[in-house]
Amino acid sequence: MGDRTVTKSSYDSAINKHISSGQPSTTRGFEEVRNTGKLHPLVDPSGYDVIRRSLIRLDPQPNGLFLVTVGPPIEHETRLDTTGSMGRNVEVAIKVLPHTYDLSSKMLPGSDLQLAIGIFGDCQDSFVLCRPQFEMTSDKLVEQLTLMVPEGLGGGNGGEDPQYGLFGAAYLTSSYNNRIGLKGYDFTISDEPARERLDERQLKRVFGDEVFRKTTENGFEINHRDLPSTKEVVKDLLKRSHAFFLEAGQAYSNTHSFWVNMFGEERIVVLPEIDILPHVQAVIIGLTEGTISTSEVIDFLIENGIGKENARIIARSVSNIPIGAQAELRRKVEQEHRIPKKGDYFRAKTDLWPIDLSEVPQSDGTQPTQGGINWL
Amino acid sequence: MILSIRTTQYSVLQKVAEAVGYRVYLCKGIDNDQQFLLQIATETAYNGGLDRAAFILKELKQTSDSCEEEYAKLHPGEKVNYDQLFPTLIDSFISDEQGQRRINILALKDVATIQKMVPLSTLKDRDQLRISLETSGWIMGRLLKLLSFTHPQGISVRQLDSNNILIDLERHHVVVFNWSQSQTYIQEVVLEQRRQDIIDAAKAVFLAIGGDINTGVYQYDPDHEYSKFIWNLAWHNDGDARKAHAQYYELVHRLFGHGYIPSKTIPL
Repeated sequence: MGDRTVTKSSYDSAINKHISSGQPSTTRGFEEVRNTGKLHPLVDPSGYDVIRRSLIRLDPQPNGLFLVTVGPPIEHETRLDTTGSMGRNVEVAIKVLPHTYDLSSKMLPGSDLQLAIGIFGDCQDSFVLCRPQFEMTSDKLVEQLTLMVPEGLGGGNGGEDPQYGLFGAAYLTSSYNNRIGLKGYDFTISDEPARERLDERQLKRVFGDEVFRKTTENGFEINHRDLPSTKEVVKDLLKRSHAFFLEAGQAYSNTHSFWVNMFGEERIVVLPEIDILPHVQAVIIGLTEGTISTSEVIDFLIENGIGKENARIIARSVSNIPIGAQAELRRKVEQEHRIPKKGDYFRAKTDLWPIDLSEVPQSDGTQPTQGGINWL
Repeated sequence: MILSIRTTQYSVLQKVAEAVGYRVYLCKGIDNDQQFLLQIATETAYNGGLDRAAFILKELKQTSDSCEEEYAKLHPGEKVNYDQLFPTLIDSFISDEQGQRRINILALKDVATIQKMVPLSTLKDRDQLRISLETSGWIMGRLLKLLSFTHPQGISVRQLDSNNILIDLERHHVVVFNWSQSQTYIQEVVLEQRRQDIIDAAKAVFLAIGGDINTGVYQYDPDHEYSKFIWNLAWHNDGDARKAHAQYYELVHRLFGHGYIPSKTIPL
């Protein structure tokens, strides 16, 4: 599965490859819709087997084992509102992608950050949700973002429909991280409330007719006659993810109260400007992982280009989150297991834990052969 | 036990408090004998609360210092002393020696002997005492002063029970000790939470004067205007601590007069 990650040069190459100068970034996504009437499968929530997977990257070795090439994966899903005033969010997400990767990675030393940056709209739109795959290279991440279809409609009707994206995150995600007892990260960004209920027809429209079979396959029995409410979806999402609502303004007077009711006060974080999303995500992750303390947040933000006023606002807002929640999960896991790290070996690709270092066969000192020829 | 933090050493003395999420020890600086309180998480799972408290205490201190500067310009030589009402954070760190648990070192401003500070709850629960109405005057007044300071800053205490209110009966000091449950808001604290903080403070004081918080009856003088005012705050306040503070002192001055009144405790 390789070991490539997001770098500045790979990002620049991806931009040159996927975005034509002078055209909107999402031109390709709209072309796909014009040509096929559908979203591109990479970002279509019903595409690629519906379930989004975050796996540990392993490379087969000559000794028959599988080498961990980067580290334990951490899934990081973002869903951006692209309705009304938030219509430029895809452009912003592309622009700040290197920061998103760099800043969050700083808070996750030794981990394999896997990003899925999607968008949501309104059920009145042609496409309610674009949900990509978890990726970790510039090429794939930029490509997926250019395939988004931000219709920019739907504003002004009292709310949006991110609850379908939350449904996908809760029941249609499979991650290695969860299997070993840790959680990933999930961020919903909007300035509007959502709807309190989900609709079966919309679920099928977004995720395909097989949606309930897929949730079952992924371990969640969802009764289509008694669908969970948005609040229940969030409750289930929190079992597998450190999930937050990032409030990018308040288009309606009930925006804040709606999301407080869904997530709880401690999971609502203010986002003063959409361009500084990577910074806010990073400090949330850092505090949750225990790699940064509240007293370091302001300095971290200022060092990374955030103005003092915004840094202070963010620091205050993130002081309410469940600080150290992932650190605590990690401690519990480590009481019984060794969390894999780069360079560890797995006996089989489907194993949960790496083998003990003492079980790794020792090299006999000869150089590995290339092309089947062993020169003497 | 000696605890070394960077270049500072503390001598850790007796345990003075224990809660689900933390323990508190008295400690003093090796170099200067100054007394501090050492708050340590009972388990790593509670590190986050202490980290949050550290952040909030720093925020409070910064704002308090700014207020002090502004006040000094208008009233030279006088002080507002908001920072007497909460601990001063001296240091906050994760201790490798203590199993990666977070430790906060706290000082109490203008309190030389920390042992003289006692939780409001111990008077009733341990010593079977109630405080006189006059004595409760400065306690409630300081609590409302604290809330009128924190609420506009967007900080709610969320733990104003009598266990978390330390008092020095002799010197009339009040300190709200634990801030790990507190919550910050971007602007002013929301109305519901402002009301709740005032309710909590009023209930703690009503209990301390010997009132029954289940019935709202102050059995020692059921019709006393003061006890009724306190009880009213516990039920019908409008979330405006500054206004409540002003109204409260108007009443206190009218009923009990101005100036220092020695504290008085009475057997229950």
